[in-house]
Amino acid sequence: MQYAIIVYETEQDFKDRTDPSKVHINMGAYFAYSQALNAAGVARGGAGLQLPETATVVKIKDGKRRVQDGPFMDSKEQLGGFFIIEAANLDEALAWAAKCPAAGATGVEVRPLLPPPPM
Amino acid sequence: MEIIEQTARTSYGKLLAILTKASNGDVALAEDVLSQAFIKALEVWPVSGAPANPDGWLVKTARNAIIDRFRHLKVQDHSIELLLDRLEQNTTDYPDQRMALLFVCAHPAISEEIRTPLMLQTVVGLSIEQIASAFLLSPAALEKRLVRAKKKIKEAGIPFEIPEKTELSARLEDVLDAVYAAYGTSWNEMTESLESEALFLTRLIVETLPAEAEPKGLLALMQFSSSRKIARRFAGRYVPLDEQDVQLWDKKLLNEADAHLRSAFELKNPGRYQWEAAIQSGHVARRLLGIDNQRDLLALYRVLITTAPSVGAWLSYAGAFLSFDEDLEAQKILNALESEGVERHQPYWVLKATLAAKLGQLSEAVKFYEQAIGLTEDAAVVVFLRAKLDHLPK
Repeated sequence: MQYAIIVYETEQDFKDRTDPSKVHINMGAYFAYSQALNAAGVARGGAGLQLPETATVVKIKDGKRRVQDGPFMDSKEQLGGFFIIEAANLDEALAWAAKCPAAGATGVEVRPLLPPPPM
Repeated sequence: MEIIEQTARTSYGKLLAILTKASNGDVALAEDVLSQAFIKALEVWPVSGAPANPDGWLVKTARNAIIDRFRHLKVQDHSIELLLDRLEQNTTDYPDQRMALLFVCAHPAISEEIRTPLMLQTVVGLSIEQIASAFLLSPAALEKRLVRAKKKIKEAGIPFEIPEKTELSARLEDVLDAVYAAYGTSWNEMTESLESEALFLTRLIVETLPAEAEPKGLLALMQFSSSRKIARRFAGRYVPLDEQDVQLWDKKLLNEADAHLRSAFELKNPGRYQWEAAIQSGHVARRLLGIDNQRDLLALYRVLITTAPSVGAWLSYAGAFLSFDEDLEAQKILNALESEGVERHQPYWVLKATLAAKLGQLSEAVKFYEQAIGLTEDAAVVVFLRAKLDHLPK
């Protein structure tokens, strides 16, 4: 079964990404985590996202386009990226989630993926 | 009301165990009537004042609920009636039933991974959220598993008793393993550490079964480990045993650990936990008194591996060889473990990295440290490993 480990970050977390002294949460930590997922053969995909201010929201309402700058949600915690992993069950997925650097900062959300559409 | 909270904290497991016995081993029923009794206490006590004997009041109230329940089920069981009579006559000085409840929780018919949560819920009285956080489980899933386990206890007729002498040590091993699993959550220094709960349960077992050696060994093992807790951290960084400031070790706890280990070995029935505690004791003596006991320690590791072989035991054996500069021996063990599915074991990669660094295989060492960091949950350990990686010769 596949699960998404969804990373949420605060403004501080986004800054810490490039702080060499924040070794448990910076890019180096994410690099090590991705490597561990790969080596265990459970990594199925994922991506890190650029800062929330680089986001653009598009909506089509009553046939009219609405485009806005900034992320979809106006909240303190923003989507920072996600990992897709293969796990036997939720317990195993939670064990991987706890090792994700973001779990030690703001937190991660674990959600099962829908099964792929029939071919 | 403070008195209700306090009674819940200090007496919950005790009362639940008594009521489980009174309801013929039906833990779920006992939990039900006990929580009803607590709800009633919340209604009655603030109005009419707390009773002189809160435990007795709660048991009596819960007892009436059990009688109602059995009447409702139209079950005629005279042994239960008899027990309830005894309970009514004497609600204060009732023999402690918690040990029997621990044996129910760790019964071979109960699946291994739910035994510890079951103990923590029934005997310690922890909430689902607390247990789920400590073991990284979804609270909803954990609750379902606990309900299923309690149903099994009832339907399979798991006996509510301390096993006979002939099977006591085998069954006791399961109980101790489950308690030790709770202690294991404290190594990570996560917010919901169950260290004090595990120590509490082990003390309870030591007191109830004073003629058994392994509970004393387990208590010693936990105390040796807990005594170094503060020394294991410095400025947000993990500090390994050999670099710890021994002044920070809890000497009182160390003495207690020593005393428990000694009285365990006096019973002349050694086992896994006594050997593990003996290894800890050896490391303590080595650091504290500067005794050169490397040979003895390695011999103890060998005994442990023969008594209770596990990947963890092999890894700590390899770790001992590494810290005593017997790199080839360490390498042999690590190579042999490769086929044992250790690639998700963080300590395995730490040892591989340490070994590679010692042998001057630097690019390998970088790779292995990265791998270990990726498998580490504890930020303080990440900081420690990253420093090791950064200080590799370029």
